[in-house]
Amino acid sequence: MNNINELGKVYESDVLVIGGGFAGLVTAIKAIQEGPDLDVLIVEKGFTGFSGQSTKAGNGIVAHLPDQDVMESTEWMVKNQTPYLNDQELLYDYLSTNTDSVQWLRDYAGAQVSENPDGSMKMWRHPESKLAGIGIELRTIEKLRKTALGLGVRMVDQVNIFEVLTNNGTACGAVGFDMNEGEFHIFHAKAVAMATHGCQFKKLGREFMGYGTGIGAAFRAGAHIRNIEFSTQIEIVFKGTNVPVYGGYNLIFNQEGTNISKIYAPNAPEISVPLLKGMVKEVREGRGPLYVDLRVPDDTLISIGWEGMQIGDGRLMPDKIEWEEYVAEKANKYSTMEYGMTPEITIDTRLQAEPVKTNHQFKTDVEGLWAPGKISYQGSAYFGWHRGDGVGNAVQTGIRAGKDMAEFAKSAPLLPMDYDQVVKYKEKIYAPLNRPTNHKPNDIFDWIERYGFGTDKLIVKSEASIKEVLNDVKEMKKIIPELTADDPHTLAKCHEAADSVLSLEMIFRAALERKESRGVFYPHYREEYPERDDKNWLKWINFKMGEDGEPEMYLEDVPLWKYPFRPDGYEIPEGHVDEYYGEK
Amino acid sequence: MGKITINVNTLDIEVESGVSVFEAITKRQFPYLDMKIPSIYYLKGVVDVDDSGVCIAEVDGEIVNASRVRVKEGMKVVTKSPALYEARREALKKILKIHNRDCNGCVRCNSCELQELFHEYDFTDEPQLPKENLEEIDLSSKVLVRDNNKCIRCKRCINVCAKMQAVSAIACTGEGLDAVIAPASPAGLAAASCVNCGQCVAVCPVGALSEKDQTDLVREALDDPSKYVVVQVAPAVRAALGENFEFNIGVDVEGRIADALRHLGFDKVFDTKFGADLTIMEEANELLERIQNDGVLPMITSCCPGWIKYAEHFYPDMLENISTCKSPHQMQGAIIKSYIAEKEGIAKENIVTVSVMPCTAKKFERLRDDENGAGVPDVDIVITTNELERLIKDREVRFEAMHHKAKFDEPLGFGTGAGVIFGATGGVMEAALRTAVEKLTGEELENPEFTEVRGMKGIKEASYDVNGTTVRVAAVSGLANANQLLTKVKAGEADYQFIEIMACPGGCVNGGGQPHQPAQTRLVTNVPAERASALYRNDDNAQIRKSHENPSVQALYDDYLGVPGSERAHELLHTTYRPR
Repeated sequence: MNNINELGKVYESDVLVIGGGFAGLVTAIKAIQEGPDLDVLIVEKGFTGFSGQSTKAGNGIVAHLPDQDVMESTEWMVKNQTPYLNDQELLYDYLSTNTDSVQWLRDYAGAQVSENPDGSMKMWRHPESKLAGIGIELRTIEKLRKTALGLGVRMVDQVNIFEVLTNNGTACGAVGFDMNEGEFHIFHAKAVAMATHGCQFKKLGREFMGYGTGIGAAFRAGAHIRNIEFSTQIEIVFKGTNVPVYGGYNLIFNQEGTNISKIYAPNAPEISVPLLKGMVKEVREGRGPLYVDLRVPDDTLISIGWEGMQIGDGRLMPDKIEWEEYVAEKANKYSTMEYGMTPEITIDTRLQAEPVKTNHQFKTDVEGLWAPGKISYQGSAYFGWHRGDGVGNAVQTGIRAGKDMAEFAKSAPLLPMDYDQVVKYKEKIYAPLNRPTNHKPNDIFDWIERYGFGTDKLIVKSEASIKEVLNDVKEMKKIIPELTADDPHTLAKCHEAADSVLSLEMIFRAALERKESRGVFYPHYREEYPERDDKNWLKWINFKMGEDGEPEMYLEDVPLWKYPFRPDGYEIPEGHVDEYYGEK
Repeated sequence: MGKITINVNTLDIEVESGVSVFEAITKRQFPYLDMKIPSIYYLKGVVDVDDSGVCIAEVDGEIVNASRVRVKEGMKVVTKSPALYEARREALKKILKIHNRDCNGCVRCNSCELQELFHEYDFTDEPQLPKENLEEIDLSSKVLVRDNNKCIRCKRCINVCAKMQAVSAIACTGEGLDAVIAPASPAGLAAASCVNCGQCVAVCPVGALSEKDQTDLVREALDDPSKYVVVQVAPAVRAALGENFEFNIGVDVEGRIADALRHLGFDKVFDTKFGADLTIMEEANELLERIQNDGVLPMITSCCPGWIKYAEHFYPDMLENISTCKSPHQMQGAIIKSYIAEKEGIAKENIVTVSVMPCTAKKFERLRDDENGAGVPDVDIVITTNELERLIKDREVRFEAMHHKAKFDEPLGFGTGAGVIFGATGGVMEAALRTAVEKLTGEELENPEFTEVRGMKGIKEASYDVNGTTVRVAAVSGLANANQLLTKVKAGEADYQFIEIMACPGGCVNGGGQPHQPAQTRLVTNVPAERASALYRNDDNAQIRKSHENPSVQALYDDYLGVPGSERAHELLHTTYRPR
């Protein structure tokens, strides 16, 4: 009998959560609350409660004011974010429970949120959307860690996971190694959650928040991918920083002193593709550098935050305020202009792929595998994004996944692990060690950063620019089998590079396929097809792993016949009938 | 107390009136506003004013000692300014001049209150004190280590020893940073009447006082294949060890400890809860015998070795009153080396018994006369909660990854709810009452809870009507409180049948070997009470809540000991005392 214990250190649990960020912690807490007898374990490559995106950003969480109609908000989201590509049922559900989830966070994690004098939650109405915001203390995640420990959640820190184990297509564990010692770790579980974030590239500051190893592992386990072409995130930031010019999008000026926001995006106080195109044009034509003029009267600073929110009031975080002071200082340092209210700005381009396809409980297409948190934002297709709601997303998705996983784990058996699969993955994971080649994983990241981030590739795509990236991907894929490492960190990077390239490939293959333009904050924009095409493209572009191990694309009609909101002139495709029976 | 409004850092806030500016602001707690006055000497109930020079604030434009100025309506306070930063830094510089900054080799690294300020006030490369200036470390005590080179003259140890423990084994002459702090005997701590309670260790903000680390002995035993290493864990440890791994205060980590000890490689992992149940069997029997046969009353508990040594020093005439029962872990040690040795077929000489205790005095207790029931020492090594933390970290066991529902090994791993509350003041009393009352009345108790003896009060009294006789009891924690009560008893002003005495204020949960919490946390949170509540929750969730119903204890009597108070029980489980 082959003994798996001889291959590495084995941990057994009922519920395994991969990733100890906000979503992972919420998932684990919810799972153990639903099933106090369950054995819940979090594995994290850094330190649970000190990792993940929420530690770096956010000062608010989205909620609904009691007087706001959820149906109206749903409609606003459907029409204004990534039009008509939403799973409207999930979006409605998401919006109707988001205030409850903030309350949950308060009750179970002791989260500090903005309060009225009577102790109720203080909310600010967003001037533009139908939603409200609640201030939230950034250190909430540390409290979540303690809550989880107190409830009996087990935590294994500093172990990086690269593959999900399956038994006849059902997830039954995961494998990875210790980031310090390189020791192989095998996790055996009934239910597995990928709370790993997706794959994010940022050009400025070269900051990576996720490398797509979660996407890669889920994909190889059989999870499907959806909406990955909407991975482009655009932002205008103070030069030399990653900090967005929140509230300054309608106040962008060129060196001639002209407000170019008014020229290119006259009616949009938010960021938009035409505005970015205009910015690129201005600089190319010699009227740069551009700056934001913050001296204009207050009432035009409409998207700077939530209406009526002030520092020390709803904005809870001393760290955030200190950070903003630091930013102001930095903006000054990099600015060629007189400091003060006219800091220089630049475009920040990011790819943020969060494409793992899930159902309404954030379960993937693989039995026993869930994907709460950012990893499934586009994939779940609720698309109810409001900027700054990363924490809200983590809580909502974590609560749903945790509950569903607990239900599943209570009755599911612990499936045996496949010895040969563990051996195969172990060999694959350690393969780059001491390869007699000299390609380091950073070669790949340098390549992506240097050549992959032009505005022509990320914002205004064309067939030519997409093909250029796909060609790069082909070249990079040749290098990946030759990557070499001699320590656990570089070894991890080898796999991160491979999975980043996998995400990149799917993003651009889908982008090539989608011959139209759509979306605001996460836009897909094709130069040749600048208009939205509802006739042909009310479709989801999906991927699954083909038999050769490569991504295989397939299209799926967005089931608008089931949903309340449909674009003008929408016709129910053949073979379907109107299945929406609620109010419109 | 009323509320008043003061202005702190330009914000109007409501605070408690009648307290110092420091206490008012610290108690109010603004997790999201930078409103904090640092402190290093202050400790609630021990050192009430902080003259270190760091506990300062600007009050109405003037820099004052924030622990000496009372809040007044409309007062304007600034807690953070360049002037305050400089002044606090200067004060810290002076303290660092007398503090040997040997952080890497210090057991208090990471739980040191000075280190915390050191980082906050941007000290980076202050040199260590020159070697030739260092004083010799006082290693005379078998339990405690005193390193005067680290002492920052806060006088917390002096106050706690004199005021709360009425021992005064350590004294002080002089003022400020030039003060000389030394044991009451020039020959060192061992020669003073120190009772080894370790409260000085518990209050020390730095590493000037610590327990004698014996983790090396444990490692040696674990690594020796010829030894059968058996560990037991006291009730109070599970209510506190989590704090050393960043758990919330008051989280019960019983299962995780059992799992961690197994990972450390102990051959048997037992729970002192069992020994506690056994103690109740013997002690309740002794109490009933004394009541029924006109024996010496009041009977006083003997679980606490700090109290025992205190009695031997200061109440030699009352030694007859003290129960002859050994403390739970000693009893359990004796049973391991007799009953378990026979059962498992292992020579008792090859067994190493390790006790994990919240207590420093237990290190002394194991060396007392008549603590070797099976002809070999009952307990070979005692380590504290903090030493267990070091052992776990040293052996790279992932404490957070341990199972929270792991179980101790049978048969000495099973204890009742009565056994677990031993860790809180009043717990031994309550556990004894659960058994004694049932034995006296012959009826089952409807509610096993005796809430009158619960809580953090220093002296708790209650009387119960049992079968027509009134049983008067008292539970005391803190030796100064014990002193007060016993003075009354001796003067005939108080009359009890049964008294529980615990040396540490709040009981074992607040023992000298328990995790350190910074003074500011202790001002806001009642740490011993939180830990005690974890034990009461554990009791509440227990299937069996009375010691005499413990099936493992019953089996032990049936198979081996006979009945409580039998000859064999006396040989193994009882001890003697002598005046010192």
